[in-house]
Amino acid sequence: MFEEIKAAILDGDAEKTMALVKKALEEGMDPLEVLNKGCIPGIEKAGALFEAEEFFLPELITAGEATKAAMELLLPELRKKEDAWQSAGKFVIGTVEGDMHDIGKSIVASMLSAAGFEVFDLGIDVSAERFVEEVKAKQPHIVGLSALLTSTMPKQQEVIEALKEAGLRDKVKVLVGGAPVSSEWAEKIGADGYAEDAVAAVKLAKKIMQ
Amino acid sequence: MKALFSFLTDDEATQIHEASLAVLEKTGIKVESEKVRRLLVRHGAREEGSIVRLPRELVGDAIKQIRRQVYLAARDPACSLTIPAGRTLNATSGYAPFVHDLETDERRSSTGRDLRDIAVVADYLEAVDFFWPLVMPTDEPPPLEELCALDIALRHTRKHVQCSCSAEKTAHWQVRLAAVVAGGEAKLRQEPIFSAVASPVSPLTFEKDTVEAMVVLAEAGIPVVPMNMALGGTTAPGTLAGILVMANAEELATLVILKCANPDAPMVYASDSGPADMRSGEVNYAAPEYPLVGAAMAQMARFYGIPSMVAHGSSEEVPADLTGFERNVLRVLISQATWTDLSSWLGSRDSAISGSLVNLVMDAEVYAHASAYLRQFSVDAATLALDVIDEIGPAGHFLSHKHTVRHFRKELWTRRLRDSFVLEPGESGYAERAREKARSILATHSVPPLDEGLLKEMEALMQKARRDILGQG
Repeated sequence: MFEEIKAAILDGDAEKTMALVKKALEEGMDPLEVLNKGCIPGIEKAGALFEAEEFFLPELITAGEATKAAMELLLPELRKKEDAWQSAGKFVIGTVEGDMHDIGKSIVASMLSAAGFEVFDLGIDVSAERFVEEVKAKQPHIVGLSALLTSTMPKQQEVIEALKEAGLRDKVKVLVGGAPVSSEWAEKIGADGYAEDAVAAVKLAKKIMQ
Repeated sequence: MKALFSFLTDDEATQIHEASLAVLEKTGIKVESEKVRRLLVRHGAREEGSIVRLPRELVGDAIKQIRRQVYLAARDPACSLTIPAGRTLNATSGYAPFVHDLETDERRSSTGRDLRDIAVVADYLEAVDFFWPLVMPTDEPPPLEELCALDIALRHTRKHVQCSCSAEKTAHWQVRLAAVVAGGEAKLRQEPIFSAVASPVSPLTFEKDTVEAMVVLAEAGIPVVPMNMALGGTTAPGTLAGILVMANAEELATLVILKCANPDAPMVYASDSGPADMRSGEVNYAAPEYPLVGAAMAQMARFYGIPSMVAHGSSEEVPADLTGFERNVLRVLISQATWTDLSSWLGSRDSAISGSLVNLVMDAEVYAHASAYLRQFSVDAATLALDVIDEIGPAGHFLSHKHTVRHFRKELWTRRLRDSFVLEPGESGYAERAREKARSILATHSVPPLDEGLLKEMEALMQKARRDILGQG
């Protein structure tokens, strides 16, 4: 069963993945085991194949979406036994003000969800004030700032400054990403890290949560 | 939808045709075989010494008998080809007496062992659709080289073999050898697992040995490829139109000979014609006229409705940098855009005097890049993707749609950089990359051997052939 779930995720087949997970739960399997032995190995394998340049974006994303669909079935069950389960971490993510680029940020959000993070996707054109409000309200472990334009990159710095002013900077880790962004830039603006692609972002987020 | 590089107007093609008929009727061809002259005379040609004049009716009849499709079978049926195939099918270059050693890169006389290695690598490379013996086994006695080349090729590649044939006895034994592998001569006629390059000599001359070989091959149903080499300024007039008349007249004359031997004989209209180097008198493969003449000859073939072949496009040198690599891509792109049915070029070096595994692997890489520009678009309900566009709508994205997943690998460039020879800064050269790849193919790729029984039969037959050809007992 776990192997079948893993294969369905690698095929990017959300319907089949959900059907298998539903069946597993009906048969009384432990949701945590379904997650750890079926879903997580599936999405991790997809990530490894992407890193090895065997998988391309469409295959990575559909695998992510299949996992996300499975998570939606598993989460309520997992929450029922809260003592046994907690999410991999809370993650607020958005594209900064003035920037309308959605796809890259959504891929990262989707892959984070698939990896077991509780993700709050604020969408695009998100102001520094909104980031501060959401950090206050959701109390995430990490906040991710996406910028695809050299002209909107400075907004990442503004968000960091706003978090400082609100006294929240030491309560949350800040990750930055986007085509023109680099680790040098992340260091320069005082972010906690930079990820080159969605797979790297998940790895970095997991490392931070350890 | 595809690019097609055209050269002549319809009217010009007709003029070349008419001029060629006039040459064959008035000037005639020199046929150095009495047997073949008699054959032609029986069909209405006029003989005067060794010159044979071909009336236009005779040529017209041969044109009417053209086989518009030619089947090039292969030892492994999965490798069989039928032309026209909708794109240019490519072979290794061929019949060079020298090889550049894989390890030392020194130029030396080629051997059967070199040919075997080249066959194995060509078997592996996707860019190679059918096989020309790139180098000759010069460790064999010269009269045996062509037969031994076929023997080695049939053993070490599953692909169709196109060998050279320039003697009647060679033709005879090549047919018998291939018949062993094909399962008898009748089967070979239906499934010609080899074809043969046998060519007139410009201007307008058919050597005794070669023309007699042509007849044997035609009778056995083996496709014949007369790859003549009319060189503007030396063996043809020093004008492009003059080269075309000469080359076309020779192709038509060969067609007449083959059809007189067997009205059903398959022929591929071929050309290695071009300009001569006006300083050395040699063929000038680097001249722009060379691909232009090839394009025009391919057009003449389409004029008659006969499948065509032009030898062109080889890199000849291993580039030192990206600019050199791109120049090779451009060169291959231009030659492939002439849309001949067959071409032989991969692995050639030093104006085809030598062959090299490094060049072979590199040319395959160049082809991978060039061919991406030559694709036909598939335009149908599935690829127009109307439903998908409607479903995603404005401002959405297609990355995670099943349709994208299903199609992108076939339709979009996904070649990995590390598989490609396009070097990154600081990397070792193209030759080194290609050499490594050739080594790794030789170490890992194995061609399924022929049945033990067949191999024994071939060996026995080769022994008989040796005695017959070398005249020992």
